Amino acid sequence: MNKKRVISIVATILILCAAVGWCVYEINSSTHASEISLDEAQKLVNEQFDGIAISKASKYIADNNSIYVNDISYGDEKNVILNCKIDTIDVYGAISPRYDEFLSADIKKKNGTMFKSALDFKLEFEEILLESLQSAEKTQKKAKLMLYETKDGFEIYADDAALNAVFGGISDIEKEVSEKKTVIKTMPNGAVEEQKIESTNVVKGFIECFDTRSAIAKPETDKGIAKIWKSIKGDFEVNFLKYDRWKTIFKGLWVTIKLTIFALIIGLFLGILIAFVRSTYLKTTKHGILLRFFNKIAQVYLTVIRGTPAVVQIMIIYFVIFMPLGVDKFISAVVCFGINSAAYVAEIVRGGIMSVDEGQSEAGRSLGFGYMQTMMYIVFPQAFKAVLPALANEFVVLLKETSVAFYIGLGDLMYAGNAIRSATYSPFMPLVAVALIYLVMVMFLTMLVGKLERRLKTDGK
Amino acid sequence: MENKTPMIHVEGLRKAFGENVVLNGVDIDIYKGEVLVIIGPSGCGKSTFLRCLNMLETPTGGKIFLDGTEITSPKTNINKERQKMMMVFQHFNLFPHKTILENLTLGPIKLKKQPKAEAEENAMNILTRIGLADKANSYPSQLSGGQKQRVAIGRALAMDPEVILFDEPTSALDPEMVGEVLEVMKELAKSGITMICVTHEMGFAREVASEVVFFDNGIVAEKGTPQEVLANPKNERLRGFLAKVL
Repeated sequence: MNKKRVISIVATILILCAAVGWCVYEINSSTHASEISLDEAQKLVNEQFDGIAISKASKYIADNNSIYVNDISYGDEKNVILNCKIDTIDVYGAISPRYDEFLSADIKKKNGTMFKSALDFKLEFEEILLESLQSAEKTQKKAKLMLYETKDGFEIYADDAALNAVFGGISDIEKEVSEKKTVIKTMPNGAVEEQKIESTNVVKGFIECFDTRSAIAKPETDKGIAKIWKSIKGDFEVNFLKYDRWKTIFKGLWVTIKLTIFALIIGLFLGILIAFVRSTYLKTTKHGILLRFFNKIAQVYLTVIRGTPAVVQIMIIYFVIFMPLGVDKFISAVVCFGINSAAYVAEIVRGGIMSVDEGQSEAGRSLGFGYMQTMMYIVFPQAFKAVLPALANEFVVLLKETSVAFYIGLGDLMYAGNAIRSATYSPFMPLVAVALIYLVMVMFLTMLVGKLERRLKTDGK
Repeated sequence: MENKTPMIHVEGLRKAFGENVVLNGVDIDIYKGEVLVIIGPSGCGKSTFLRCLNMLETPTGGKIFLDGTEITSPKTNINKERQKMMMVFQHFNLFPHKTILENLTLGPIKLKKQPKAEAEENAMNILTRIGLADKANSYPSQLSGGQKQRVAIGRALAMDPEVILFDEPTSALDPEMVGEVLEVMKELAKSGITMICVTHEMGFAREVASEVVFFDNGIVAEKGTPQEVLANPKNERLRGFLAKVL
């Protein structure tokens, strides 16, 4: 009957901090922005939450020093000193973090002299879910918070909703947190934008607007397995059922399958072609100019493709070659993986062709078959059988390797899993689901190849 | 057997692998229906000679005519000419991925454009002739060495060639299997097909050869009927060779 917390607190707060540094030299006509660094953004975030370590959520974060700003990107709109977007923020250590998504902060130029040296951050949290504050009756509000760092400490202006969410329900206060020298002031709802700061020694400013969902903690009645079950169920629901997210996974799966099949076709075709060129060159002594030319091309091709990582290849093929031509991501990925796979297939098949006993081609030639016919009827079927396991392995690798298409933003299986992860901030379910799907496909493929191999193995042995 | 134009006419055939001269001017005529047996110590160039006849090795010099066509000429369609001249290898070289029947029918179907049924019927006749009809649907790996070599001969026969070249057909076999292969070859010889055979089987040479040729150091050191060559050798080296072999 104790009130145990389900999972201690789930605090999940997303922060956005955008950071931007901006230096305007007003005297100079040439103004330029100095961007805020990740470290600075991080520091700012930490400071804010240190200063207001009152609510359960923020205290948790402050205690664990656990909000990390991972990425900031800057735009370049006119008349806007900085347009910055924080792409990712991790909340480490937060238990069962659930927040949907989060956002972007625009920093606009303030012309008032008072704001000369100030930075304004307007942060929007689309959803802050404080799991620990769950109750039967949920409330959702847009909260606003304005925060200025002054030479003396912080001044925080917050509306009721913000006070409620961030400061744990304290309202109508004008409170000074002595150690941190943070002054907290209330203000009317909706007045944030217009709120004027009174202090004249502002160093930095920080405004955030966010939606809160807060509620009063509900007695926890579940224990043991039921508790675990509930948390798994909750995880499952949010990752797969909510907003029909499972559909995203299947869409991604379909893209992965299509990509693999097309790449495989290109890879096999091109690979066998190259293997023919290479093995013909290596097996014969007289080389025509055409053969020498194609052999050289094949050699360069194999060296380059096998000598560079697939990630680099797909980024170059898409961003450097295809994107400027307006070719879509899927085609780019098919071409890239086809070309990539062909290089490996070529070497495997070449090895197979070379491994077939010379007597076999001699027997073929002595029957009256030409070089190509001997290859087709006698050498290649044997070579193919010999390299089938290696080829199958290459296809398995290809299937898995297509996940690299994630880097160009192609919506494949990996991308789908990651999209869910970044939306729910619950990495376990979506990523493990993706892994399982890959695993099942690979096992299925391996089984098929095993069957084929057994069928080809009819020569007794 | 008295034919005007030889089935195979070889003049001044030379073959060198780099510095190593293997054949140093060989002249041989083989007439239709003849069984030519080539003997000689190892390394004397007899296998190379056989492979040159089939153009598996490109001669360094000299000319080879098959039934009046110069096959050493670059203008000749060698694939077409090879169909008249099958080769049986020391190591059989059967196609392991095909059944015995398919080994026999592959050439006729793909090269001679025979209908499948006809090629199969023909192949079955040959298999019956060499006593392996029951193995038609087996794979080469299921056969013994002697059976494999008989199939290899059958594969050559299926192409209905003018000449069959045997490159030490019994050398890779266990002694007790040599007999069955030689039986098939003797039967073939009697059927009147032209054969050129590199072998160490002197008994076979004595019995069926119409001419025996002794190779030494890349040239024909002695030739004649089996009686002449094997019973009364004139050449010193040949005498030494026969003393060791017999």
